[in-house]
Amino acid sequence: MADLHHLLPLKPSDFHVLLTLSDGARHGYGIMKDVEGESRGEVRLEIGSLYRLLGRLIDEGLIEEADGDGRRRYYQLSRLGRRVLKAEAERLASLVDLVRMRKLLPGTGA
Amino acid sequence: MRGLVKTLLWLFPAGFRRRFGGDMLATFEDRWREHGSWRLAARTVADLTSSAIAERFSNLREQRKPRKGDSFMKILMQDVRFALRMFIKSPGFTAVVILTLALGIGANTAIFSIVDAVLLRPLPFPEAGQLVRVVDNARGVGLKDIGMSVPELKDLQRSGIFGQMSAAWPVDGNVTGDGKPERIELLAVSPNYFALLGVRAHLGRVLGDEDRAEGFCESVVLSDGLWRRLYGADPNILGRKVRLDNDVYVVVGVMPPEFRHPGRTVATDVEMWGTAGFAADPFPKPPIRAQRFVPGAIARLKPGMTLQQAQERLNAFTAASTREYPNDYRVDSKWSVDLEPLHEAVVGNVRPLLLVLLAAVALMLLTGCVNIANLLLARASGRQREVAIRQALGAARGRLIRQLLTESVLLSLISGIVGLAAAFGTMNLFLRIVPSKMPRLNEVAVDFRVLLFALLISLLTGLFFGLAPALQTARFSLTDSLKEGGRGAGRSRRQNRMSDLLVVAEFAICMILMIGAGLLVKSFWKLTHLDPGFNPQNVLAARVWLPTPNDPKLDPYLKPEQRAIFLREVLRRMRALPSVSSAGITSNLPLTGNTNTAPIAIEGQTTLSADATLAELVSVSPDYFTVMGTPLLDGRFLSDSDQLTSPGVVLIDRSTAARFFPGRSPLGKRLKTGRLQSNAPWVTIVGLVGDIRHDGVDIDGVPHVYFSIYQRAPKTFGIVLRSPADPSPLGDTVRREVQAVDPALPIFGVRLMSDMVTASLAPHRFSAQLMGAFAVLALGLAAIGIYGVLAYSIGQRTREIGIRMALGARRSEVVRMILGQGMRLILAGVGVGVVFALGFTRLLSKLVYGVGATDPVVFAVVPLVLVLAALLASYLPAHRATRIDPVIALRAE
Repeated sequence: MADLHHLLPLKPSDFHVLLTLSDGARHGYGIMKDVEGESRGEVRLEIGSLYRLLGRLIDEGLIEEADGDGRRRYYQLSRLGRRVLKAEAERLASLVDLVRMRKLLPGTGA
Repeated sequence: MRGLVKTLLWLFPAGFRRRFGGDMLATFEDRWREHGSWRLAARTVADLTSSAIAERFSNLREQRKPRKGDSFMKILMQDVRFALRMFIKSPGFTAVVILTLALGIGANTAIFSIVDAVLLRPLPFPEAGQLVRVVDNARGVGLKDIGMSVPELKDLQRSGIFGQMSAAWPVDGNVTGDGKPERIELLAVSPNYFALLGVRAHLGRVLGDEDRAEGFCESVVLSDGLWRRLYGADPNILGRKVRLDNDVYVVVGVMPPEFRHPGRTVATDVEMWGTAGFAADPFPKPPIRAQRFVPGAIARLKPGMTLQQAQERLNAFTAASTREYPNDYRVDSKWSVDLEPLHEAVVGNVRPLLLVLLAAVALMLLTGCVNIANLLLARASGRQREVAIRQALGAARGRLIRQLLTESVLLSLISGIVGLAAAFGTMNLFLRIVPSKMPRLNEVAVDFRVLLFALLISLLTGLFFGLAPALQTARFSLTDSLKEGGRGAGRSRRQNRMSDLLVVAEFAICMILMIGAGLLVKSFWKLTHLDPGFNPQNVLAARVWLPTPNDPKLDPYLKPEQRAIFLREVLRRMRALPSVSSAGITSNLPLTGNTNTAPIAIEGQTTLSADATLAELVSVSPDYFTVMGTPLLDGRFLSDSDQLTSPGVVLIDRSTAARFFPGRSPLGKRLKTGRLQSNAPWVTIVGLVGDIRHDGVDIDGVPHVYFSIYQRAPKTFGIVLRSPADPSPLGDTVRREVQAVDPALPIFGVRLMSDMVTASLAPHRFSAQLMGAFAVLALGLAAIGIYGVLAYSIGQRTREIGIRMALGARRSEVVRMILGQGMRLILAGVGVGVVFALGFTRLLSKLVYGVGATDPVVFAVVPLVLVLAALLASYLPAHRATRIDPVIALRAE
């Protein structure tokens, strides 16, 4: 269970895709739009890169295929994927805490 | 658009396509419906292509090895990607670097392809290392390459010293029969010539033992070129009869196109091979030991025998012969039979030229490398911030160096490809300026070895110019950067020193090249302004060769009277031509390599060694010197009344007079051909003419003695015509008029005398041009180098200069300060360069004429030119420094 470290840190694009799927299954175009919106345009996936990424995440067991609507397929987070997403978020949070402690960012230091 | 995406999906690995293809298409359709635009189309195409390639790559990697850490390839790919991004970010810099290097690598590749074909490759024969040229020398009397007599040839062939040995006697002859008569070169060889070389015929057979004869055997082999030119590549050529100098030969074979006779020829290339025993007509019979008319021989050493061992056995052989025939071999002439590797005999004389060019072109590339190293160094300081961040993020030094080197090697490889393409594209153009006398030019090709060379120098170049900046960049530490640069754009003192050093090196290399070029250009200039002893302007020359059939009975020009009649008629017709102001005939046209050196004896003078009385014997018509514009210094010219029946008379030239009659008038003195004891008639010297440089403008030839064509009628001769206007259209007229006298005679070598002078200087022009071009390029690079360093330094010193000016420094003082900084580097570079040049130019001593390897003028003028050019290049940034506004400069920080 604790053996998630070989998967961390996540690439920004992976992180955003997992994040997008955290509140439910989506089809390819949905993922594309959400990722672009949520990352404020920072992560931009064209179809080729998107599907390479999806393929890799499926292979790593982080996401899985959900039922489709006949024309399109839907993808959803696996349990492992959810745990990895959480672990990555915690890692980032603790990094941010460290930064805050050194008063490099505005906000509440610990 | 959907169709396009569907097509592009085929780029992906099959597994991936099966898995996601349909869904990708659906996703794209959704997107296209909402955002369809050409921009999306372009992005999609680009993304699909690159993803497909990336997917295939990762597929490959996964199959090859299990994932672990960062593999070599992965890092390499990463670095290459990063490097490419950097190139795209600064296209100007990248273009300059690639252009500079491509030029250097391209030029190096082109020169190397010639050096490789001519010098490095063995001759295109099996076991070519065993092939030697056999040369007879008589060092006791200072004579080299004196030729071989037939008995000697037979003795050597029987001696068992060689595996095989063949005479090689280039002659020329007139092919008649089908269509226009043409003059071609024939090589008379022993029957084992082809077996010795180990070559086969392309068609039919080569000559062999069955073609043994005392005189000439009737079987001949044609070159591919002659077969195509004269016989239209007729496949049924075998058995065809060919008429050469009125003798009939039968074609038994055609050689492959790439076969060339590896050795001396008359003028161009051997086009026909025939065997001869040299012991019956047209050769003297029986053969005499003292008559060395076979000009040379080639041999194959016995397997396992070294050149040294064979030479020792030859020395024993000559010693024994000298003892056996004391009348034929005088001990004091020190007759010897010497061996020279055949490869050396063929290409030895062009080695200095090629090596010098290779060195020059390498130096030019080196200048380019140094320049780029300096550019990179300047850029490196701009990249300090990037490097600092990467170090702060934990990049190891080695990893940084590796990445920077990847960048430079990638740059040089790209340049290598561009340069190679350029070299490949311009090779034919380049080969056209190579002097056609260069041996083995037909073997020059851009092949695997040349490609390998280009790759190798590209790699080396990249490492060379990249190493210093990479080390420099990666050496610098985070704290230094914080302490020194402040804004991260400055350069440490060490970096400045490195950059100064590079400029000094650049100027030194440039200096070497420029001095070399200076010497060659001066030598060439001298040659073109040298008086060849005749005025080549408006003179047309043509050559005629009277046939010499093997059977004397078939020879219509056997008797001198017959020849004299013919010559008189030709001259009469030439003089009658409307646009000809004067016409002459000579047996030895200058600059055609046609020489006839023989001993002469002077009445009342006995000399010990034969070489002291060697002279070139020439037969000329009375008007010859008028046509050539050669002055009469004393006495009279030959006249039409000097006939076979009248007393023999000759003219001599100034150097003959100086050698044999120092301080005295030669007029009225008598001389004869051969030794004093010979039964040739005495002839009287009636005139003294100026020297003509017969053998080449750059060769101080032996003295000349001029006979009258009517008293000593030649079989080969040149016609010279002077015309008030451009005589080049006269060529066809000359041919028509000569063939009106004898339709079977070919007229060849119809050329303007001025063109012949130009052509004789071709090797000098070639080396001067190339060297000059390399030097100019290197000068340009060096100027850019000093400009860059100063401009950069001024950029760094803006604040300092501003303060100086604010405190009252005048513009002229600022200029002087900057120029002084540049001058230090320039002078150091020039000084170092001159020292190295003194060593380098010794290589040139074989290529220059009339200019010493340490010519003081060149060594004074060239550094001056370099310094002036460098001053000009430094003046621009210095001038810019004076434009610095102190107020702005001080506010800048």
